[in-house]
Amino acid sequence: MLTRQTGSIHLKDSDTQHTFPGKPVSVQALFFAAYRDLLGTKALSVDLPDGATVGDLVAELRGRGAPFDALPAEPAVAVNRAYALHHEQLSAGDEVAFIPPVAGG
Amino acid sequence: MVHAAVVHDPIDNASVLSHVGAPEDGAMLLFLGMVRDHADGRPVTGMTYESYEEMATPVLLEIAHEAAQRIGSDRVAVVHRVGDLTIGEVSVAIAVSSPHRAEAYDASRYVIEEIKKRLPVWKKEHYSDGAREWVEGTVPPGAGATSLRPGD
Repeated sequence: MLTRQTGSIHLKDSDTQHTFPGKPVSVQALFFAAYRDLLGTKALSVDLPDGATVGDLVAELRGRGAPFDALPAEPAVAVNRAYALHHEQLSAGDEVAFIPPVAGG
Repeated sequence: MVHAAVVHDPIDNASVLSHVGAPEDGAMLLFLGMVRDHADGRPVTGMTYESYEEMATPVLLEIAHEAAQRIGSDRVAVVHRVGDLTIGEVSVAIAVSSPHRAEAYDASRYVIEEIKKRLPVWKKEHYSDGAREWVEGTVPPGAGATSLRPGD
């Protein structure tokens, strides 16, 4: 777990250009219901370092400050429309949905 | 046949039932989930349902197949509605048929309980004072962080 953190990105408030060791992968983050209301957006394209996991994506977003830091540290997610755990590695073009606690029926 | 759909228009109960029923069946059940006029003692005037539709449809179908497999039948149909609903409107309809009643009740119950556990659908209650709030939900299994990571 700690070794994964060593490569993490430290974001500043400014739109600093980030440099990644490998080729960055671009993923699509989707937000529903309460998360969409919180962020005021349904979808975001996010660039991550090669080999980044779901957990890295969550950390990147929460590191952006308000309102992103109000997302839970361990939200439920679905990668390409299937529930996934945070250690799952992401690939370019993946669709990562942030799933608030569900309330169907 | 096993049938599952997420729809925007009002649910037609007869059409959901039309997906089930066979000559060997002695039991047919229709469960309707409806929008009620209160929540924890607070008057409710309506509900807005939202889904991650591209995922909700396959998850609903998966749940229906699991229910069918549970009772060794292929006669399970489920339709979930999204959008703005008023009091008394049907949000979910589950039809099951089987040779005997016990299996039909079991499969019907399974479908609604699994919907509540893992279908990517959310609902916002509208209260009589004009406020609107997302209903507290359930974290789906297998979808969060884990303390056990490979290689740790």
